[in-house]
Amino acid sequence: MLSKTTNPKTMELETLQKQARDAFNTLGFPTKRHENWLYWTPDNEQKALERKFYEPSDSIKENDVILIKNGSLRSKPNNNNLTVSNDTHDYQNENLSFNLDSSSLSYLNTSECSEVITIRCRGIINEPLQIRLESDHTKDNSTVNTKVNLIVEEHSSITATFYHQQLGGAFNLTNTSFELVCKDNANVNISHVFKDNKSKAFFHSIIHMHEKSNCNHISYVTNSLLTRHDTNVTFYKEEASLNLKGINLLTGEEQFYNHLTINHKSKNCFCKQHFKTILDDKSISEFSGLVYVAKGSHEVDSQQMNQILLFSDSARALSRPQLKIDADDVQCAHGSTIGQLNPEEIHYIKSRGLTESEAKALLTYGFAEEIIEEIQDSHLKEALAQDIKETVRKIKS
Amino acid sequence: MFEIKDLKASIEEKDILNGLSLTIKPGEIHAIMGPNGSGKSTLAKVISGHPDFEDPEGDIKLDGKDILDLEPDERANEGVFLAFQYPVDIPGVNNSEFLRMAYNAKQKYQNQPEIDPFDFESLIKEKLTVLNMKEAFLSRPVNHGFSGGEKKRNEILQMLMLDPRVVILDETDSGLDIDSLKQVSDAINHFKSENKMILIITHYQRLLNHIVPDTVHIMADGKITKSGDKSLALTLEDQGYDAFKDNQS
Repeated sequence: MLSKTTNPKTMELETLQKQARDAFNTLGFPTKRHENWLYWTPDNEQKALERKFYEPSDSIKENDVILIKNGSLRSKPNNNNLTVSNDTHDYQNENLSFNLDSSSLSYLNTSECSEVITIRCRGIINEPLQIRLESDHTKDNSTVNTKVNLIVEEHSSITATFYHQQLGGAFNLTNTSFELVCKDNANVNISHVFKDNKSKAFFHSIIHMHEKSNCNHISYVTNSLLTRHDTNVTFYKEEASLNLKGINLLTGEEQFYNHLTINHKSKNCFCKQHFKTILDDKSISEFSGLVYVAKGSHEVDSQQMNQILLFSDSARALSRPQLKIDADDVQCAHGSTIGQLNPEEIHYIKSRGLTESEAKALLTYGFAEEIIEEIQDSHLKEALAQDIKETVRKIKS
Repeated sequence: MFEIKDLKASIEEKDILNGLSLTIKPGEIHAIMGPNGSGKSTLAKVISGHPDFEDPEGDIKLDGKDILDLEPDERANEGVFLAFQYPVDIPGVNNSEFLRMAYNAKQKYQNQPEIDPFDFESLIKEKLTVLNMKEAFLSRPVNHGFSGGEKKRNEILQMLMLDPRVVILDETDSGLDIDSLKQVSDAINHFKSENKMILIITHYQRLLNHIVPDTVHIMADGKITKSGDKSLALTLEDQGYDAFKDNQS
């Protein structure tokens, strides 16, 4: 296990990786004995996790998008307000946590990644930025470990969409670590799109919220074999605000595990967490959310809601919203709903001349729309709305 | 002509409609009044094809065509419209888009081309004027966050847009203030024409001061027990339902 006094700021990557490897060797792979890993454990992927797949960056091209392929930086845009690098020294002045107090898969990511890619935003970036995280590890039983940091400096502003695309088969795994630092007065809009993924994906996201920073963070999962998100948020200073939202569409035997921890270490911060999941066929979703308000963090407003719409008797949903509050004078709420479409609503729409399938599509889109409306990237918003409409149309019930 | 003949419906083995018959001729307005639990709203639901009432018996015919076996959307596209007592919220779908979809569904059913978006906009603005409603109403999600009165006015807006042959107004007057009641009544009177058939379900005579019915029916125990002209509603308000308990039409 890593020492709590470890200071990653002063460490070289190799040192950090050695410590992470030691920690992983101590912890081992997660098993069903671990409460957070009750429903999916990477037992069958152990070989894959130990066999990393990596293609080093020969040269980094200039492009409209940031392309990260098989864990290495391939292209970056030319923008005065943006620096993108795989230089291991670029992150060393940041107080990044590098998953040092986290699950063993995150240790493995730190241990096995070959590059640490750091995107740094200084100033106002008006055009939405595309970041493509691609993996095409075609050999069975291999893992792509990608590590990306996004640092948004003080008074800076960015809208960015991360497209996570994994090719390869069911015996491959992508293990991605993402760390977001929203410095004082930063304004950040982030979307993560997980779509058309044939491999299993573990995604660990760590978000640091500093004074008066504002962040809208949206995730979208669809047509993906198995996805696990672990999100850890820490509020360090006052008046930070985070909207953490997600929309997930699962069909067939797809699985999505969403684990969330919100740490309110400062008073007077706002955090809204709202996830909506649509399940059809034999799909499975798990939500485990914990909001922790530390002693002295007064006037925190933190609201957690997880909503599931079931289209099939064979689909399964597990939901555990939780609160742990050690402060006075806070506004916190948590809730969960699991249900089917309301027959009264279907009848109402049919009574206006629309067919049953049209009525269901309309209501299902209405269910998802609340999240879609929050997307700031208009191109993504339109594409996602269309995508959801198309998928919903195919859902039979 | 809209004909209901010997209509029977039950829910969870409890009989609600017990052989109800009613005929509305083109151009006529009928009103049904009756105590709570007499089956008025069930009648509205059965006409609209509500799934709670799977196998009602009897006939419901519109211009000679039996619609009782049709799906609710098919009934709607044949020209039957129910203004709901409790209109349903549809978050995420704006009013204008919903109305356009409903309008085009009817066009498609009748093998007509979809309406041009500009023509639709002109049409809906014209109908908003009839109801004295603001354009901002159109961009709001259907009934979501609407007041009770707004929901009822939205039902009437849908009626004006879809231009049905038969309209059932299920307690449309409930939840309306005096001014809204007059606006809604004016819109229904504007809609009335020689080929429309309107059935008003209400508890109160006040709506019938604004929309004058040709026939008033009293309903009890799932059937019509007395019918008369508009004066019947006044008598009913004066004497209550007890005075009509043993009367048969």
